[in-house]
Amino acid sequence: MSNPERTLIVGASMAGLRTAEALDRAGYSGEITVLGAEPEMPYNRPPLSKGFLNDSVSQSDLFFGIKESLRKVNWKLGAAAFGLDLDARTVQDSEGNEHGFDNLVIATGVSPRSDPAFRGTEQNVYVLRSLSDARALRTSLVRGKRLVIQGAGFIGAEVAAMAVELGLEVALISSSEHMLKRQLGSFVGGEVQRIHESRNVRVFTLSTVTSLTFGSSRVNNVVENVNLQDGQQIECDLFLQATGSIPNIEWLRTSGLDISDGVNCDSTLRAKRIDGTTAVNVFAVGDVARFPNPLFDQTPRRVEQWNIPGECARRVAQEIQSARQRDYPQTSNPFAPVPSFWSDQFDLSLFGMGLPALGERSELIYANSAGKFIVGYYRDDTLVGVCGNGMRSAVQEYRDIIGRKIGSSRV
Amino acid sequence: MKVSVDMAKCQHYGQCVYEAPTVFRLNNEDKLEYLAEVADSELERIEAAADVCPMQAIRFEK
Repeated sequence: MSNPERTLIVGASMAGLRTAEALDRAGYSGEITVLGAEPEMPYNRPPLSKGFLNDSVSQSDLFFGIKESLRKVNWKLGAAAFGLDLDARTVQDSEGNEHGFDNLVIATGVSPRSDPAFRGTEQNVYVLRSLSDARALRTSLVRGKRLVIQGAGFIGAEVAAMAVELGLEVALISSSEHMLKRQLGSFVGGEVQRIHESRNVRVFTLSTVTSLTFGSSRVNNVVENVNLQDGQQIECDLFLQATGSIPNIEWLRTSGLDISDGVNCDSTLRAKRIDGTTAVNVFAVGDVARFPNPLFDQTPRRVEQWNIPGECARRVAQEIQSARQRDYPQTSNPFAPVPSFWSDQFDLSLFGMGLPALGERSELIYANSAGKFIVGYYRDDTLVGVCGNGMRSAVQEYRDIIGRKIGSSRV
Repeated sequence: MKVSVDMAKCQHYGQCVYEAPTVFRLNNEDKLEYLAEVADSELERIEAAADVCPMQAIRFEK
């Protein structure tokens, strides 16, 4: 009796779950094991910086429904991947177990970037990525407290808005000229900041946190002040570091895979080795996957946006199943998803497509007196992204022209 | 097959619209409208729409 083929998915969040589902949907008959570092079954992360913080989304709402047909999946939770042996085709986990595989799908995601100088046993320093992080933060978001947030990207901005609505005093520290400048450019970033400031968020721009001052007894490890490079001291009760993410690839450090900024993949999501060759039957999906997107260019990038895990999952399942089943539909097209993203802050309802951060110039396509707008982002004559406030169906219409050259009277 | 959306959870992001444009759409006020009964042949698209919903508000049964 031959051993059934085994697919090991490392990472039990949305990308890992969607990969298991896509394999199942594709008719995969091998064994599927999902290894996850967190103890929970897969859950939805975006509400952690939004509805979960004000209890409009409950903890039970966060968990993804698991289809009946996935009951055959082996879920190994609470064990982090520790190492990968490509020759032996095994993954070692933190519990000392070894998992053999025929196909490996890396879905280990990202961790919040935090300054090691600020880490330790501080009671009131927070990050926000996991459910455990969110529970700790939610408990502390009490009316009247002073929250200082380092980082004015999406997470920082969303938590700031939630905290204001919960009655906290909020200060936001941005290293850029204004909020969300790098992500969404001057017009949208400026609008976001204007709205935050109108709701009494203190925004410190072109600012960095150089140190923290602790309470009179260092033993208590309670941060009392956040100190900026220009000498300003901001009093705080809570300090949140929201300065971006780093891909979870430490466990791959000796594997031979190219882990420069995530798992470097080709246009079929196959992982590449440091020597440039493609590792056999090793794939990456979701936030950890770095891949070229021909809609834009040949530069491989990680894309931490909502629909990417599902898109990756579908492609990888297709690759795996078409290798097993002769008549399974295959595609030779390179993987070219249109990323989509959204962010809700106060009355702002931002929704967009593409990669606005690639834009070298932006243009206000539409604006009305109710504050609704659509901005287009261009690189040369190519539309690389679009972002609107409250214009969702209009923004959707740009989806099929992301990555296309736009004719105009400009030279 | 039957499709239902928990409108208490739906935030009208419209991600479902792209996956299953024959079933879901955003109306003139950018609010979701959908067909509650669709052909079984739409299953794959409905599944994709349910997966991509940021609020996980879509349910269906054959």
